[in-house]
Amino acid sequence: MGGLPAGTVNGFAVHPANAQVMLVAMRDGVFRSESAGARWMAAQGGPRNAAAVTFKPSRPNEAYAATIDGQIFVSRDGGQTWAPLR
Amino acid sequence: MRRAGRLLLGLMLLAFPTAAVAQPVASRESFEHVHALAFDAAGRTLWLGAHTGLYRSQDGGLTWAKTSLPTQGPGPDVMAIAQHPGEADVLYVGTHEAGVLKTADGGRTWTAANSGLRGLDVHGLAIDPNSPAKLHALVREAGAGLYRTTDGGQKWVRVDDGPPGETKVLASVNIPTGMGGIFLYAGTGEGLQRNPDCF
Repeated sequence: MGGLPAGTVNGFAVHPANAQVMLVAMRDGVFRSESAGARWMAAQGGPRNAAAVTFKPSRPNEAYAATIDGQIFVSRDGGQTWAPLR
Repeated sequence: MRRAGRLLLGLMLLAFPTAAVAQPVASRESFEHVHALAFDAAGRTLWLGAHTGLYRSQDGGLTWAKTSLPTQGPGPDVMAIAQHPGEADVLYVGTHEAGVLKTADGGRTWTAANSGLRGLDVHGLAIDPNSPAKLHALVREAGAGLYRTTDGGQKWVRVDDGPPGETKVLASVNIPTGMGGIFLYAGTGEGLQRNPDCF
């Protein structure tokens, strides 16, 4: 699990078409793995205080994250980059 | 004239039944604390579990409506959501005080699915992507432990103590263990952990 900061993992999601690709939601942001969790990278623009994350099954490269207070962020590149939903 | 108005209203309700039961739009302030987020299998409905209940969005998270659940009080505190991988109308939620609830009609009606659970404080819920009738539930406090059902929640059996640390999220991941099963991942207070789902 290299690359994840210490702390609580609040949310977790797996890419619908590639189970090696995973996202976690943590206080420090959203993190992404392409190795089933062996290595992790911080996702660009991922929200702090992330509480939950999910992929959209009908558009597998689309992912959504919620902060603890309910702000929604969206990614359209499989969780690599994120922006607030507007 | 008044009778004609009532007739017109009745015809409108018949024509647009969902409008008659639409829930008021919920602001994100009403969530208080978000715990879980999941799309249905078709990618149409985005579900959000929060301290104040279960919410649904039909526009990708722009607006939300609260879903009525058959529990006492204002909540329940929805800790986990597990969506069926192939049937968009089938969804399970794990709650802080009412155990597991299941819908098979997209959230219109719910039934408790707690037979065999020794506690009702469910903090994690995972559905097997290959065998959707098989789920795992993580119970805290009374009856704490990891439970499994193989019949869609009709009967749960305790498997073990579950992962160490406070579980926040549970997921079955379609990665073969090499021993005949797949992996169960848990997000906890001690980080991300995984175990073979073939005890």
